[in-house]
Amino acid sequence: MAAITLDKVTKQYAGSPKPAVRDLSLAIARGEVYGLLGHNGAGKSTTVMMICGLLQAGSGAISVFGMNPAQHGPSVRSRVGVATQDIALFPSLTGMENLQYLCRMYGLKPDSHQLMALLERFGLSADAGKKVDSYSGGMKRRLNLIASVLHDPELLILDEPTAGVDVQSRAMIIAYLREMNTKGMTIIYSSHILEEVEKLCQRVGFMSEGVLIEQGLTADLLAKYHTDSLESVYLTVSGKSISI
Amino acid sequence: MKILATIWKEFLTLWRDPGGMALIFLMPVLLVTVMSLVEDVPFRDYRHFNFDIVSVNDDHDTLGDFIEQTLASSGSFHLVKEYEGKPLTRESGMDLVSSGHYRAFLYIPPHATQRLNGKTTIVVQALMSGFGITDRPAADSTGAVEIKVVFDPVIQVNVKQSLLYAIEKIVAGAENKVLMAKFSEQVKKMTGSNDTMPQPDLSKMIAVTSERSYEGFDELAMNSVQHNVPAWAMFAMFFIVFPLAGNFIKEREDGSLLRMRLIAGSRFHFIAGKYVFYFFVCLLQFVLMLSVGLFLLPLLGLPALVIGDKLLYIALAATCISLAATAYGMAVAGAFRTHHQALTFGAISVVLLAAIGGVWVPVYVLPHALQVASNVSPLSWGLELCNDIFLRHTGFVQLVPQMGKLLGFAAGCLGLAYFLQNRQSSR
Repeated sequence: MAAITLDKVTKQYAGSPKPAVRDLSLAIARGEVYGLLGHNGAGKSTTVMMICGLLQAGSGAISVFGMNPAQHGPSVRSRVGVATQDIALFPSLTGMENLQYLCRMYGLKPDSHQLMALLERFGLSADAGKKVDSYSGGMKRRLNLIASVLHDPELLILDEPTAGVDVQSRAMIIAYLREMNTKGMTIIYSSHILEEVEKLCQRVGFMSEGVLIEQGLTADLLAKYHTDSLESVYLTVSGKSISI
Repeated sequence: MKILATIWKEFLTLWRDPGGMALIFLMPVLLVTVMSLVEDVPFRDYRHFNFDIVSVNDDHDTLGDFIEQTLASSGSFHLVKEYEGKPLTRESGMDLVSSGHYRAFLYIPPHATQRLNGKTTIVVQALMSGFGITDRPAADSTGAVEIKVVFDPVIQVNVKQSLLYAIEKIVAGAENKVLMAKFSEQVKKMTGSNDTMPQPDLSKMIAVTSERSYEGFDELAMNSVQHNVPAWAMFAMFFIVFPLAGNFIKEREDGSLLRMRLIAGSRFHFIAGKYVFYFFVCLLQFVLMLSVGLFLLPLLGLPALVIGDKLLYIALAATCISLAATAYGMAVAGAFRTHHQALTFGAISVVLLAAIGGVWVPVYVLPHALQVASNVSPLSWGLELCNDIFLRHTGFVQLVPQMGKLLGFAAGCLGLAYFLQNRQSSR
């Protein structure tokens, strides 16, 4: 059964000469790790916002766990976790205080032991009492990821979760995502580091100028384009010579 | 629960930001203290300050001595008669003022008493001749006895007028005195009496008194503290736009607001919690500023702020002003996309609203056009509300229009903020 389906979805912002997303059709199965790739402005963020019900599609149909997010936004969002590219944390609060506050905003009672276990899992327990302001980029990324899974979502959307982080932090994040996926979590993964995407994602889709220009199983795409890297696939399908 | 969590989060954020705390609490206290001290002098009656006047008396007679003695004994003026150990002349006295060493120079010309006597003799004889008692005197062809007062150009107009008024009053008193003496002399001549005639005190024939427009507190008058404390309290409260809009936009820019939108049902609580927290910050500012007026300023030699005895009305006024100020901050946060734009607009708009709202100088001394403009300043409504409660001692019904304006402004700003935030979110 599909966790997400998009059927000929188009979204054009007011005042913009062309659609941010055009005729996007996509289906992501439950428990799948899907890599959504594309350059900046390709339409990935708009797609994610529509999946979460924060933006309404101009035309087409979207279904998330069988619900239309435009009509059942809160219900959809209660089952979706999003780790945005921005470190959306409160720098004056400590790591623990950030998680406690976000638990309350999710309507959960913060359990310090559980939170400390999560922090431990990501190697942040020793810094739980320090202000996030003092965290390194990698620590902030890890805490940002914890903040997006506090409500135990069925679908996790990650936008550049490993951008600018050290090798150790990256390994922790990838290992955690694999573990969550084995427990049934559906993941949409967006990253510029295509090696990561190759290792983690079963399927990938490439977006360019708001259009899904190619998608398929990672192995199939590599075979189809006679290459050993997704980067080459992207450059071929998009006709772009720049690195993504 | 979510609102309380957000209030606690905002509290921790502010508590851990010494710069923000100083901007919100310490700066307004310094501002109100300094402004009350600085503006104390212009608010005082001229009789309450001791002003140096360079004085040269070339008359050396009754009139000159009378003017100088009266000025010196008033306690408001200190006569400077010499400079660097040398007695002053007309030229050197003038130089002291034109060089900016002193602000005013009083010059009593030679023979002033003699000329005044001559003039009063003519006046009295003219009066007597009307009754056929004396011959009609020749017409007085000489000009008025000129007592010159020269002012430094930098002196404030109100101080200059106060000084002129004081000197004119003394001279008028001298005129009356000499006139009555001459009249008495003529009557004695006419009657052949050697008795000393009583000198009536003409200054007590008509008394102009002032009364307050209500029966209430004693010794109550507009002074520096009474104006500055509520005025700068308004300014500080509306300046909440600075930390509030700054905090809001920063959280929008770093994605925290988006995170709240992604957490089901938390966005309203997040914004409401922020609004409630800053509302309480405004209330605390108001209490702090009143406390400065009540307890700190008297220690610095200023009069204590009079707030009356209607604490409930004060609480209601503070609530209305805080709601309006915080809502304004929310509207500014919604209207601008960047931190820089919002803070620049917020700061300048509050300064402008303060200027036309009577924070620097009372509205009634502003030009007519600005007085009309002050009607749209929420700071003016808040200030009027405070003056109504503190000074005019008005009843609740009279407070309703200003409170209504502030609450209407708050509702309008919140509506605008809601609309603008939604527009920002859909971009």
